[in-house]
Amino acid sequence: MRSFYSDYEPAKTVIPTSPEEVQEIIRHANSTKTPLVPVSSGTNLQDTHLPSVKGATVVDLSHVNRILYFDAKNRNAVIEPGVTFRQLEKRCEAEGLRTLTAIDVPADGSVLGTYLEMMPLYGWPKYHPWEMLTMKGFRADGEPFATGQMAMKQDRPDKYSWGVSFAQVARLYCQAQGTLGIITEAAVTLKTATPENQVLFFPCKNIQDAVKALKTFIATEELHEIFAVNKIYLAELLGEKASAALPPWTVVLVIRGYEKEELAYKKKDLGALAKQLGGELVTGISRKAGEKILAEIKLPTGGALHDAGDNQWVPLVTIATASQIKACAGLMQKNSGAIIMPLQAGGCFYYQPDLRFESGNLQKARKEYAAVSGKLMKAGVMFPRPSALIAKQLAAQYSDNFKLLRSIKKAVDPNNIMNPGKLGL
Amino acid sequence: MKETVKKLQKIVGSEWVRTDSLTQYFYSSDVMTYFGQGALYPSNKPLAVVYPGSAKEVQAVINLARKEEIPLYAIGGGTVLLIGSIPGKNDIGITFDFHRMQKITVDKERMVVRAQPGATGLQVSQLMREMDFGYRPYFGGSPGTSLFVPYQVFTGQNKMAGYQDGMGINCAAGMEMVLASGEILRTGSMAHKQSPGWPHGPGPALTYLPFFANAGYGIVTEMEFRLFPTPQEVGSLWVTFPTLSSACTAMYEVMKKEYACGATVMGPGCWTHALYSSQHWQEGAHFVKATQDINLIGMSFRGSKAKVAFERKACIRILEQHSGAVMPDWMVAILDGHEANAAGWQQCNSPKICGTFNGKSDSGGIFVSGGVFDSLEKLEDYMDRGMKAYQQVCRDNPEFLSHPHPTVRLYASCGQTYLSMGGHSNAAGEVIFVVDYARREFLPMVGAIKAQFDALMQEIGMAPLGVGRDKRTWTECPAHFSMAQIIKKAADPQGFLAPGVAFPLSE
Amino acid sequence: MTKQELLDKALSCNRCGTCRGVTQDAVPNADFSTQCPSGMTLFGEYEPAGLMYIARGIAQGDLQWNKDLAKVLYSCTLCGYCDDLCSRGYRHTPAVTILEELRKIVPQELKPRSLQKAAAAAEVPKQHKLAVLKNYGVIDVSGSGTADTILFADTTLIANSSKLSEIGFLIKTSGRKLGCFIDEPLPPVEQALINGGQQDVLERCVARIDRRLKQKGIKKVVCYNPESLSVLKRFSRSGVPFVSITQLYAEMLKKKSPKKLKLSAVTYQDPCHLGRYAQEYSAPRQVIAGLGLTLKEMWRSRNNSLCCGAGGGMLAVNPQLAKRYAANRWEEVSATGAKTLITACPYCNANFRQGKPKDSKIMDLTSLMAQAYGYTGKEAGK
Repeated sequence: MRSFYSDYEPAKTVIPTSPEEVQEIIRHANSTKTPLVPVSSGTNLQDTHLPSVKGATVVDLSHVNRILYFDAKNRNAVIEPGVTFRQLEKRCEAEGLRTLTAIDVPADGSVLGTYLEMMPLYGWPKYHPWEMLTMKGFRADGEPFATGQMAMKQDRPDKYSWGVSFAQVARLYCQAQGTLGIITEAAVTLKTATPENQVLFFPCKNIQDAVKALKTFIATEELHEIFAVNKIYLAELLGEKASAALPPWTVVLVIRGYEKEELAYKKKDLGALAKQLGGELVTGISRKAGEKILAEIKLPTGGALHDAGDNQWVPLVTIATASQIKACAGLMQKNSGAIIMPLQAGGCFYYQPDLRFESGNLQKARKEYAAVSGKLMKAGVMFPRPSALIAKQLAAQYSDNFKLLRSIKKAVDPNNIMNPGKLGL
Repeated sequence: MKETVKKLQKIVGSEWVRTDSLTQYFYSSDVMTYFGQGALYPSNKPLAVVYPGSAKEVQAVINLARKEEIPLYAIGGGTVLLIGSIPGKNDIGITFDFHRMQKITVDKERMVVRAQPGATGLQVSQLMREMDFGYRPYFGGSPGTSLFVPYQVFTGQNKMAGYQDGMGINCAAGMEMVLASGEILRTGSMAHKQSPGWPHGPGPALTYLPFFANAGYGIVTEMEFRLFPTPQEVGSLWVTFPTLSSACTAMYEVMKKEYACGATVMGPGCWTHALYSSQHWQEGAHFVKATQDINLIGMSFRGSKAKVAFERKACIRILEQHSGAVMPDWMVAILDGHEANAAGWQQCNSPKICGTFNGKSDSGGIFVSGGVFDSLEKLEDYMDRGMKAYQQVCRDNPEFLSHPHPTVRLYASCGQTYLSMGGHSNAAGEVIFVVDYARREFLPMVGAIKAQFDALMQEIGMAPLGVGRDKRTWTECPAHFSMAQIIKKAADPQGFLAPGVAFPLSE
Repeated sequence: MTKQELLDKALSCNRCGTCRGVTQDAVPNADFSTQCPSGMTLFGEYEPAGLMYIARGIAQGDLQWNKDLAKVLYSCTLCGYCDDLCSRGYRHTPAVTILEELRKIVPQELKPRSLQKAAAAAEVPKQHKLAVLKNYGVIDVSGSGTADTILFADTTLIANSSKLSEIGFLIKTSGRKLGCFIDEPLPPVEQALINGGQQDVLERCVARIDRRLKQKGIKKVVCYNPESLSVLKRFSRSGVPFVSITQLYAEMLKKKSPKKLKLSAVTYQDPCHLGRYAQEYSAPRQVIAGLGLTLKEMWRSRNNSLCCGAGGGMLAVNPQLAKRYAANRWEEVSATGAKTLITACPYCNANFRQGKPKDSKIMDLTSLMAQAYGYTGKEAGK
């Protein structure tokens, strides 16, 4: 297992099949001071599932994969970390529901791992990043912990109400890259599968126009999914070559509803805004483009979408403001793909430019990755879940945050066994 | 203490340290202790109150308190509703009042509003309205409260827009907090001078540490909140139902389709919530008293003209299918005024409504029980059984039941907006009693009802809100609380930040 | 008022905090969205809720009177905003009644010295200057003269020959027949008696005034000082209407055009006792418009107006604090862009002079009227 970010191979892999076994493994690791690296599905774009130290044991959670409770009426499911998008979506489909999926995380990725690491969901512009309700697991010291109703001694399967100052703890376990413990169960929200779905495209001349359009369209609160992609990324999404026929940037707008009339008013409202922006909405940017986008959102391809033979791909996972995107776009290579998704009503954006490199050029690519990331970081662009290559630099820049995190980490993981070396902790 | 006071005066200026009897009296109680006269929630006096003018002064006070091992407590705007700011014990601590820190700035590029703890929701709203650039803040709760009151930031929900915008906590983008060590922590959107308005990260999000911690982890000195688009149009719909059950079924259908931006199901005896943003709340309150058996759904719509028209029509269709009857215009007129709420502006009648129930003004709401449910079914069950428990206590205490004016009134709500980000189906319920303050003898009965509601919450499946000094967070949720204590120990090893509020007093 | 009555009233306040802010939708600066001079300057127990806590504590025996309580009590300007806002839609806390009661029951030794002598304010000074009015044809109704409408000579006017001269000039110019109790003046009552907790003295004086109004068949009383206007309106049982002198000016402007004043845009301070207490918001504005001036309203205006800081006897009790209170209002004046602040109250006028920015002017509406009709000041000597 060699990755873009890490050179270390795990010494051993253990495959628990139940939460009890997970607790046993953590307790044992504490007594032997063995580093543990929790892996749900291994599809994380930042390779947090790969060890950053020697002699680590990988805890493969893919077999802790039950859907513990499925509540179609309240649109919630309680799942274990091994549950994949494909698995959950299959169950949803039977009940007229759908799962919220993430950009570039494959259908075989872990739902819980993806949500916990806050990989960007296509649904965030509409639903905001609150897809997880309550959670339960084991701290790094092997003791149980839970949030909200799951923390209560109630004998019932449907414990997903937040309550009890859940955020302090729950949000600390998000983007923690497995450094504070292992979550073995979480309640996640599901959405309704709408009968009417349509994709509209808004071609743009450049990145600034695309960002402006994203902010304008999202303000309608009429979209289920909205993002902008450059020509390279769009071609890959559509499974085509990046031909001259595709615009430099395209805003992709997904409208959903229950009746044709619902889609019609949305199309009209969005069309009027497109005109104000000096452009026009297009329904078919290429053959079956809309269908392909909807299929990708339903069950994403993952990173493989962008890999081609020896040509490798690595994303820069960032949150940026409109002006930061504009300033940073120039730093990227000509052959970089990029996707931008508006968040907080366009106050900030999920901005994921990528680097393309030949697999033989790993060291050079790493250098370039670190150099570009460093420049973005300096400009204030946020790397919400830094990879191992930039973690230390980031921890130094945000020293106040990481000082407190380090003391929390020390208190909860006195033997430093949970994914050591990550996050600059 | 005299020496400490001198040192405090040196830090903040002599005018801004107060130890007189009125100060101590004023900061020892809030609405909850006030109306319960200390019977349900205790009043505890601080030794002194300091009014810092900057984060630097907060730092210096924290450093002093740490050295001298004096507990510190904090109050935001001075409107305390739920005991979060009352010292954990009498005469042990110093209370921070942030009134001198009221600065508000708006960043149009990053689309955040930055506020200090002394600023109120109303001030932010007024400033944003004047700026009028197509975006607005979103806050719930009463307009006079500080944005930092836990109620405001966490559960603060706007009943007419919360279905879409969520609650206060969903608006937090970043914060600046002085830690027990005296060091300053800046998170999320404030982590870097040019950070985007994003609360999560880098790494595990520390932005949410202060929520409900009531100053237990550190003293927040500034916060940033995200903005929302101002809608072109707002609309509303009020529909009555023959039973609470039919209303809940209809509501499920609406939620599934994710129509409306705010919606609340109100059961018998508690459709007071319909007056939450009504301009004619006085007429409304009389109306509510006279029609206790009404089951009601109130909902609002916002967006383009076409969106509002479509969703309203679609909802009427759905609700009518479940035996709902759209309220006639003359009835709706009583509820007028919710447009501001539907649009996301803060507008809240709670303080007014509490005062009208017994026909006199010396009454107030006692927060008896509240929490978050994960489904409407549970909320329905809670309402039904809770009402029976309430009626039983009334029957057992005839003088309580037959007091000349409706002295005690159950004011329970079937809120459907709490955890409803993007139309999620979690529900929330709260039970508030409006009690004639002057009737001290009724407090034990309120206490009895409270105990029954607390037991019901456990039984039905509901998490306590953990507001203020809700000890259930400590006793009923050990798997959560032990982790919170680990963080507490890391952030405040000496335990001098707000002991006895969100964290127990060390014996 | 019994202690139980005081408690019942005090408990109406549930500390919701809304009275600390104004109710208009928009402000350009969050500093202009605050209310209550003492609360917004000193915070905490100096806010309306804190004052209600004094009442609650005293009534229940939780608090004993001491100088700390008195300090808070006498930092309030009795501007009435909290009371007015609460009754406009919150919990109907009768804050003014409570505060007046507290000023009544506070031990004498804790009263500020200037207020201990409050009763003296109701006495007619030996050296009053009301005779000036005779120069302008004002009829002395204390003798054989008769008039339907009289001018009320309050404490700020009774010995102030230059102001009397301005008013006299305006009365003469208007061509109206107006009287005044000149040789035997009425007790010059005003709010000062309430500020000092001397409501009983006030009531006795007003009863005397009522008798004399009746004897002389007076149909209308015009008041220059809003603090007299408000107490006369509240306590008089005579049935005679008491009106602000600004009404007289507004009528005059309709009949007789003044000369054009060389003034850029102005703004106007609603005096608490003219506005909130006496409900007179329109006449002063009619006068400003009639004088051809451009009025730039402050954000806190009419019933949301912010007190100048002089009320409650503050100007005498603690002029430094009164000046501090005025500072926030001056910022708001500047923000309107107006260079002249107009007011129709002698106390607002005096307090605003404290801390007035160099490039701003403060004008009394009466002086402005007199100027517009050609008053030069030389007339005073004649």
